[in-house]
Amino acid sequence: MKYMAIGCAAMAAMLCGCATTVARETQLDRKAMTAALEPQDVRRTVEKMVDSMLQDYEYIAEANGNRPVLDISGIKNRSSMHIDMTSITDSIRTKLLRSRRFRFMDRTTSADDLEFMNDQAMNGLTDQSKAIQAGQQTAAQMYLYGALTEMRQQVNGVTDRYYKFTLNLKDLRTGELIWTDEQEIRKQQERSTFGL
Amino acid sequence: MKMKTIMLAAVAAAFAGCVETAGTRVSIDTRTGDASVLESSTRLAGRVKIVGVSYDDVAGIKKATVTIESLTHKRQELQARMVWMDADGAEVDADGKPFRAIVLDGMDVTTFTGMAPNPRCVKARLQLRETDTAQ
Repeated sequence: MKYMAIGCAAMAAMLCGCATTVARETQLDRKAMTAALEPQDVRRTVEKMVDSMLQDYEYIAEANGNRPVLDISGIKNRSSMHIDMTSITDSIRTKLLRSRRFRFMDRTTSADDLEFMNDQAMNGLTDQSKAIQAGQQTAAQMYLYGALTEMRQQVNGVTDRYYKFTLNLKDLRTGELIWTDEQEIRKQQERSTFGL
Repeated sequence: MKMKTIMLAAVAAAFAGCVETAGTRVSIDTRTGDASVLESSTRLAGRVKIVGVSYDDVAGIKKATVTIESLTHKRQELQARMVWMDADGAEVDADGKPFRAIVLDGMDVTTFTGMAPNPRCVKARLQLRETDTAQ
């Protein structure tokens, strides 16, 4: 009886909130927690797009030579969620570059490039035979662009959300769409019958 | 006394997290053509079966496809990912290969395809698990 009382007291203490907050590392791909777009959905979208481009690589290379040079235009977020689209395109670019099948231009650092070149030309410290002159950079042959769209509806306490991420690859010279793919994600969230 | 032991065991199990996270693994070696299936979860082994493994080469990058068959009449929510390794067996960009959701209808068959992240990758490992175990 005495042991039972001690056990009950210990259980009560544990359940009544004497626990401290514990942080731990968790796996990257969890099961869905909400109907919103979650990190695992973004990771799957990136993988789907990269795998799709790699599977169509022969067709893409045929249009623009070996290891075509790509750039990324903006990917529009037409959903109601705030999502860092640049982070998604950064992940796509990283994986495509690491596949050694594509090369990329990065216009976001063009101002830095000019600053380095000007500095090498003007600071008086750089061997001018080794200084990089402006006007020698390669040019993007194709660029990636796309959009994230969302449809949502709520019926009888059930929230249904549909997301579609579309990515296109356009040939800058011919104006043709060389490749395109889309990732669809549908999620559902029900309000619990019990609880607040 | 017996009842108390059972209760304590139940409480201990609840707090210790008794969710089984083992699943089914398929190892593929594209150099030798060897493929082996390791069913680590008796629960999943009775629900899905690996019925085919094939691989291909797309401009120097390996592609592997695994065919999965449902053994039950119920819909199953699964997750799978394919991790790639180089010739030395070192995983390449494993974090970049997420678990993808698979909804498998009763007695249905589906395929899971994975592309290697770069030309160095020659071996693949498919990990299949039930979505409920992905806490």
